[in-house]
Order: sequence, then C-alpha cells, then structure tokens
Amino acid sequence: MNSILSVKNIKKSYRDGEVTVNVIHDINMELARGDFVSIQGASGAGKSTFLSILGAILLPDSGTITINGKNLEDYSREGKIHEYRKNHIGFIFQSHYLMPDFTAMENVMIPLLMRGIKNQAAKQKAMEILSKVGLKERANHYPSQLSGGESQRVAVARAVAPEPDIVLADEPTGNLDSHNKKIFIQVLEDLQKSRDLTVLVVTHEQDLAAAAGRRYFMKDGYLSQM
Amino acid sequence: MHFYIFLIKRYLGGRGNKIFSSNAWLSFIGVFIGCSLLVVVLSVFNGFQQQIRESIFKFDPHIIIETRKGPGKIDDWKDWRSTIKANLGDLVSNVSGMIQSPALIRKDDQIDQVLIRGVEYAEDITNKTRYVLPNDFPKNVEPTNLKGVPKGDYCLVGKELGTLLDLHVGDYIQLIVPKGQFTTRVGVEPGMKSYTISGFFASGNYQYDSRVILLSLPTAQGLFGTGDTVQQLAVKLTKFSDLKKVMLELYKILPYDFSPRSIEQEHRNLFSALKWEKIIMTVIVFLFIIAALVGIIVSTSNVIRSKRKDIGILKALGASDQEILIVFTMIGFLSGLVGTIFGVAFGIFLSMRLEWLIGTLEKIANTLGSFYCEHVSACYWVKVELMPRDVYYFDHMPVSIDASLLHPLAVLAIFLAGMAALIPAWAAGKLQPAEIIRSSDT
Ligand SMILES: Nc1ncnc2c1ncn2[C@@H]1O[C@H](COP(=O)(O)OP(=O)(O)O)[C@@H](O)[C@H]1O
Ligand SMILES: [Mg+2]
Repeated sequence: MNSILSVKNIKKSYRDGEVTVNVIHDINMELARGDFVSIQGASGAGKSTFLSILGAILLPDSGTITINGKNLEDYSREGKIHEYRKNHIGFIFQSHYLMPDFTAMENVMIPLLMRGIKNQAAKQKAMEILSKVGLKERANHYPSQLSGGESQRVAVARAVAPEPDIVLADEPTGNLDSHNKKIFIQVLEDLQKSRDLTVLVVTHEQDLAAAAGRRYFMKDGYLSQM
Repeated sequence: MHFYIFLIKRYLGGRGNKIFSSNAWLSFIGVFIGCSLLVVVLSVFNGFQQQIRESIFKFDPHIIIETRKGPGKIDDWKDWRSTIKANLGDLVSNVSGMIQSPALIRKDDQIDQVLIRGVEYAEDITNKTRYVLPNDFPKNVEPTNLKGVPKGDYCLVGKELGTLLDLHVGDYIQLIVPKGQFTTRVGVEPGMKSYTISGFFASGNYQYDSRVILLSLPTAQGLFGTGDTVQQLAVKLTKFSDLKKVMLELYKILPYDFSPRSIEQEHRNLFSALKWEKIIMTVIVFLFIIAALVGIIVSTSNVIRSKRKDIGILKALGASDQEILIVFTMIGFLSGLVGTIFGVAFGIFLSMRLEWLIGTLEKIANTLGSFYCEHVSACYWVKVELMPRDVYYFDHMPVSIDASLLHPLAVLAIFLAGMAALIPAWAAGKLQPAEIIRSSDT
C-alpha cells in the first residue's frame, strides 16, 4: 500500500488551569495517496483538535505522525515545523481565512510564492486552478467582494494549488447555504478525482461525508471506521 | 524573494497599490520630519561654528611663538623663521614675524584704545611701493577691490572701529604707543605718529573688527622704534588638523626661552563653547532619532496588530518565523528608508532656503500683525525680527550643510529604522497560528 500518512497513538490533552482534559485519547490512522476520507462526530468530540495536530498547528502530547516518509517529530526537533506545513499540508478552515488585502488570485498565489515559484508562474497556476473551481471571472476580486461560497472555493484553490501531500478540511461547508454546499462538494470531489488528491475532511454534512471513499466517526477522542 | 516583495508591497501600500498605507505614512512622516529638522538644525549649528572658526582662523595665526617672559623682542626672528620652516617643511604654509600691542588711537578730539597688529605683507612685484594683501586676508574689505596697501604710513582699520569713530578711507589717524617697548610701562616715552587709512577690513569677528588696526611689519617697527625685531612669530598650518603634531615639533625645536601657543589655547573659552555646542547638538540629534524610532515602532506595531490574522494564516500555510519577521521589519525599514531620503533632501532644501524662509516668516508675521493693529484693534505693531542683525554678528544666516556628517547620520537613521521595526516584527514572527486560527469556532 502506498502510504502517505501514518498516525500512531496520538494523544492530546488541554490544560485549563488545574484541570486537564483529555481530548484525543488514542488515534491511529493510515492514508494512502489518493484517499478521500471523512470524519464525522458530535461537536466537542475532538475533530478540530485532531486536524490541527495533523496540520502541525497543534503538537500532540505523544504519538507519531509520518507523512510521505517524514516524521513530524523530526521537523519539530529541528525547529522547522513551518517546513512540515509548507511541504505536506493544504488546510481548508471552516471560515475561509483569506487575506483581506489580497485578491482571490493573489491569495492562491501566496503559498506558491512561499515555495519559491516565480511571480509569473504562480499567477498562471493560480488562474488555472481558479478556473477549475469556477472563479476565473472573480480572480481580481478582494475577499470582501466575494460571497461566502466563492470565498470557500478560493480557499480550496489555495490549499490545492501547491499540490500538498494531504488536504485537510475542517467543516468547510459549515458556513455555507445548501446551494453553495452543493457547488463546494462538487468542486472538491472533482479536484480530488482529477488530481488524485489525498483529502481528509471533517464534516457534519452527510452529502460531503458520503462523497468520501472511507468514513470515520469520532467520539470522545477515539476514532472508528464506519 | 517574490514572496517578500509581494507581501511587503501590499502591506506597505494597502489595496490598489497605493504607495503608502496610513500606517506606513505614520512611519514615513515621523522619519521625514525628524530627518529634515535634523538636517536644518545641524546645518545651522554647523554654519555658526564654521562662521566663528573661520572669522578667527582667517585672521589669527594657528600658532603664536613668543618669548617666555611675556611679550618681548625677538631680535633673531629671521633665523628662527628659517629654522622652523626647515624643520617642519610642508606642515606649515607660512611663518612670519608679528607685532601685537595695545595702543591709543586719536582722531580729532576722540581717543580710544585699540590693538595694533603689525603683519608681514609680501611686496608687490609689479609695484615696489605697495604690498599685496595675503590670500587668507578677510574677503570683505572696503574698498572692495583692495588688493594691496601702500608702503609707508598707511593702515587698515577694522570696519566696526571705523563706524564707531566715523572714519573714512583717506582719513588721518594718530597712534600713540610706548616707544622702544611693546607694552605700556610707567615711565616710558610715548611715541606718536600719523597714518592714512587705506581701507577697512571685516573679519566677521566683532572683537577684532571693533579694535584692531593693521600695519605692515616695517611700519609697526617704525612706530614702536624697535628696529628689525618682532614680538611674535606667527605660524600658519597647511592643514589645521596637524595642530597637535606641529605643537609637539615646535616644543622640540625651540629653546626654553620660547613658548608656542596654539589658537586653541588662545581661545580656550570659545573652543570649549564650540565643543559644548557639539555635545548639545549630538543630544538633539539623538532625541530626533529616538522620536522617529518611536514612530516606527508604533506604526509597525499597528501594522502587525491589524495583520495579526494574516500572520496566523501565513504561518498555517507554512511561513516561517523568519519570513514573517523579515516582511514586517522591511515594512518599517522601508518607510524609514524613504522617510530618511526624502527628509534629508527636504532638510537640505530648507537649509538652503533658510534665510528666505525666515524672511518670509517675518514678513507674514509683520503683515498679519500690522493688519491686526490697523484694522482690528488699535495698537502699534512692533516689527518682529527673527534674526536681529545687530545681535548676530553675521551679515547672512550662516548655513553649512556638512555632507560628511549627514551621510553617516542618514545611514544610522536607516539602520535604526530597521532595528526599530525589528522589535515588533520579532514578536510577530513568534506568533503561533493556533493562537489566531480557531478552526473550531466562527
Ligand atoms: N485551546 C483549547 N483549550 C482548552 N480546551 C480546548 C481548546 N480547544 C478545544 N478545547 C476543547 O477540546 C474539546 C475538543 O474540541 P474540538 O477539537 O474543537 O472539537 P470538535 O472540532 O470535534 O467540535 C472540546 O471540549 C473543547 O472545548
Ligand atoms: Mg471543530
């Protein structure tokens, strides 16, 4: 099996003053290149925490994460967590988190430029992917000029553009109306298929969860396959 | 590189590629005003200092050599002159004999106390009956085309002294001195002689211009009746910066009977005043820079605060601490850089137009003032003079733009702008995405 992500015995707790809350108890997961998996679960189950750990926005208390043959711990030890994020992860948040001073196209260009891609090439690539998500006409609009659905599609384009090893999405349709949800799911599915993306999506949305090839359920910090 | 340019351009300019966002303007304006004021203040200080130094240095020898037991005669002065010239070579540009002594001046029924200075003039080669004035002689001489003075009983008078005693070119004056001596001592027979005024000089130093009368050395020797002796040997240096070195050499060459005195020792008070001025100036410079730096720190912090979310996003996308640090440092640095360049340029412009500026301010104040007095309230408007000409003994505002000082200061300002921006940028680099991005809420 062509493993791209291997999660072993991840644990995470938050300390809130005197109280320690165990949020992630013991999670194991294997993803192969091109997998499209979803995680469902009640609010407070620890889904966002788990995704943040995979995206190296939070560090686990224990356990190992290996992505494309590289260990998160190694990055962390060398003080190069940002390299882990840059090299392996594309993140889509519930809120689009676009940078307000930059146009749709520029927002997509930023992770490309960050990887040393030249301006012109980055522009071309950004335009290409924006047309894939149906926003060619919107490329020069600022986030404030875009609808919620459009913004979220720009966020997808931004996450996918640098061709990360894995795309993490945390309730990406959470703020969208049903029409935009549909478009979003369509776009994500198309991209995933056409580019053979590895996608891990956390969602309440049955349609989106069903689009995934494999479905997990999280409860009280444990993960189980459905 | 493209990444940096991309972000910096937008954060500096905001949307639509303006040159500066409001925060960048704040940094820019702080540094701009700081630097332009700095240049004006430095140029004025520098101008005053230069004016003072020049007015004295122009007129005075850099080193005066006298006999140790006070001002007495030096008979073999020509030998000593050769010795000094031979030993010091290119370090000195001129060694000459000089007589300096108080005297009384009489013009009609007025009597005043003056200082006579007998100096060596070079003989005019084309006209043997004249001396030529030395190159370093004050430029503002009256009559303005005066190139030399006739040999014999002629003198040059300080301009202020001329005004004081109502003297004119061609007038006769009488000088009264103790004969056979250079100093007044009881029981010495006074000598008195008449001289024709061949011109007036203005050294720019009120002390001199109101007191000194210049005679050629032989004329002065005749007045004092001392024969071919001088009271002092006057040394002019090729480079003023060699002063210490030459003084040390002179101590070695000259016998104990002679004591050399440098212009710095002579004008100890003035030089220490100038030194204090420099120190105060440095403090002012420092304050300006601090003020500008605070501006940069504040505005960079503002930019960072308003871009906190962006920083979180960038870091989640994989930006390093260092990349964030560089972006936000550059924002402060660039506004500092541009502010410094424009500030210095504007400061130079202002310095060059300062006299005009002061004149204009005076005019505006006086126009408004007299208008107010005439039409609004019945009062008498006393004219404002920002630079009273009789208080400052300068015929023009002495402004001197010292590039050798401005250059390092500009570099320092730019460097410090970067350092100031670095402080908030450092904190920005340390921001963690988890602190900003809460994927579970909103
Ligand atoms: N920074 C934090 N500090 C303390 N507790 C937290 C923090 N973030 C999340 N939690 C808690 O951890 C649990 C899991 O949260 P989260 O991962 O956001 O769940 P989900 O995304 O599944 O709704 C919740 O009980 C939440 O209150
Ligand atoms: Mg959540």
